[in-house]
Amino acid sequence: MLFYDPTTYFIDEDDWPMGQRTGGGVNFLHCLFAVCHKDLLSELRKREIVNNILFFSVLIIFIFSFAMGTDPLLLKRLAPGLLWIVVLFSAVLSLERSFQAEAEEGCLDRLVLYTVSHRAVFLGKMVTNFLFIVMVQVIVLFMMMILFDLDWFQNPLLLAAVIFFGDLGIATLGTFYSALITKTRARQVMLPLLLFPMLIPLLLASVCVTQAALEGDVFGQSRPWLILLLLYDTIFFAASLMVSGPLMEA
Amino acid sequence: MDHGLWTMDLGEMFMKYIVIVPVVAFFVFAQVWGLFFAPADQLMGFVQKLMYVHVPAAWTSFIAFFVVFISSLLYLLRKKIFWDHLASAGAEVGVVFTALTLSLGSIWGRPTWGVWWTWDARLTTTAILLFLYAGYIIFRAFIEDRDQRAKLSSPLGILIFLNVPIVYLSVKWWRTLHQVQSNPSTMDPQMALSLRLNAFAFLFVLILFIYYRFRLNQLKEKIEEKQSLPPKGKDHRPWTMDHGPSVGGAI
Repeated sequence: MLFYDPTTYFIDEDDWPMGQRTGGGVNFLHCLFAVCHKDLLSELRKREIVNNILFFSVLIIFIFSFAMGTDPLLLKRLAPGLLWIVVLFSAVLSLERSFQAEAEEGCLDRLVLYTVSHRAVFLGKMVTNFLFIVMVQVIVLFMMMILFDLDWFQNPLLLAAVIFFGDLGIATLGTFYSALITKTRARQVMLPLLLFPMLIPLLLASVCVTQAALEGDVFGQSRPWLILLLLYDTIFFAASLMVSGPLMEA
Repeated sequence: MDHGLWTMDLGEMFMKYIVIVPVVAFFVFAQVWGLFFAPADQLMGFVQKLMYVHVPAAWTSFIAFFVVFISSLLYLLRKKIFWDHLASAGAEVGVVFTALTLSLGSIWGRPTWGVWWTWDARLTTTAILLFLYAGYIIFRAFIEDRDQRAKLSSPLGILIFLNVPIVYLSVKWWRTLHQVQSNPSTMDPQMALSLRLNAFAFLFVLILFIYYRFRLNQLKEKIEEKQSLPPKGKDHRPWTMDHGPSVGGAI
C-alpha cells in the first residue's frame, strides 16, 4: 500500500449509519484519500505521467531553445515564461486523462452513485492532479536551471510559493474542466480550448512572480501579483467546489 | 409549453410590425443622428463617429454575458430548461457583439493610434472574453443530450463570468494604453445624446436578437419532443401488448 489503505473505510456493507456515511466529516476525508490513493497507485503502475509527459515537457524546453536562437542571455530572460508554458502544456496532457479511465469503464457512474460526497471525489482528483503538476514543474525547473543557468537561490521561498499557488490554480480549474469534458466528443481539443483562456490571469501572475523570484525583486513588485494569484485560487477553488456536485451528477 | 401562441399568424404579425419595424427604424434613426447631426471630433474628425457603434456594442455585449451568468445560475437553482435556452441565446449574441466591438475598435485604432491591434488592457480583456464565450458555444455544440448539455454548461457559464474581472485586473497591471472613458461633462452634449440614442438602439437590437435565438432554441426543443414521442392513436404494432402507446416510443 502506498500511504493509505482504502479498503478499511471504503466499505459497501450497511454497518455504518446513514448520517455518518453521507454527511460525516470523517467519511469525506476518507473518500478524498481513497480516490487520491487509487489514482496514485494507478499512476505508479502505468507510469503514464512519468514516462510520456515528463519526456514531452523536457522536449519542449529543447524545441523552444532551438526556436529562439542561441543567445544565452535571451533564453535566461525568457525562462520564466517558458517554465509556465511547459507546465500548462504538460498539465493539459495529464488532466485530460484524469477522469477518462473511469468514464471509459463506467466507473465514474458508480463513484457518483456511491453514498459519499461528490465534493470529496472531486477534491481527491484535484489533489492527485496537483501532485502530478507540481512534480512535472519541479523537474522542469531543475532542468531549466541546468540548461539556462538560472539561480534559484535568489529567492527560494517566493519561488516555492508561486509554484504552489500557481499549480493549485491549474489543478483546480483543470480538474473542473476535465470533469466537464468527459461527456463531450472531441475531448483532446476541447480541454485546452476551454482551459487556456481561463488561465490567462494565472499565467500573467505566475510569470511575473517567477521572474521576480529568479532575477531579484528589489522594489517588491511581485507582491500584488502574488495576492492576485491567491485571490484567483480562492475564487475558483470555492466556485468549482460549489458546482462540483451538479457537475458530477450530469 | 405554450402551444400555438407563436405559431399563430397574430403572434408573427405582432413581432413583425409592432416590434421589429420600430426597433430597426429607431436603430437607423440613431445611426443617422450620430453620423450627421452630432458634431465631428476636434482632433479625430469623422473617425470618431465609430464611437457610436463601438461603445454601444461593447456595453450590450457585457449585458448579454450578464444574461448568460444569471440564467446559468438560475438553471442550477431551478433546473428549468428555459434558463438554459436563455443562456445559450445570450452567449451567441454576446459573441457576435464582442466580435463587432473588436473589429470596429480595430478600424478606429488604425487611424487614431497608428496600429490595428495593441496589447492594451481593455482590448486584450475583450479578446479573451471572445475566446471564453466562443469556447462556451463550441462546448455546447459537442454534447448531444439536451439535459446533459444544460447541466454541464451552467457551471461553465458561471465560472467564465467570475473570471472576467480578474482577467481585466491582471491585464491592466500587465500594460495599459486605452484612453480613459470620456464622461458626459467632457463631451459635447450632442455627442452624449447620440451615444445614448445609439446605446438604446443597440439594447433593443440585443433584446430582439436574444429573443429570436431563444425562440429558435425552444422550437428546436419542441421538434425533438415530437420526434421522441410515439405517434398518437392506437398502437398497431403486433409485438407490443395492448397497454396503449408504449412509453418512450423508441424501438
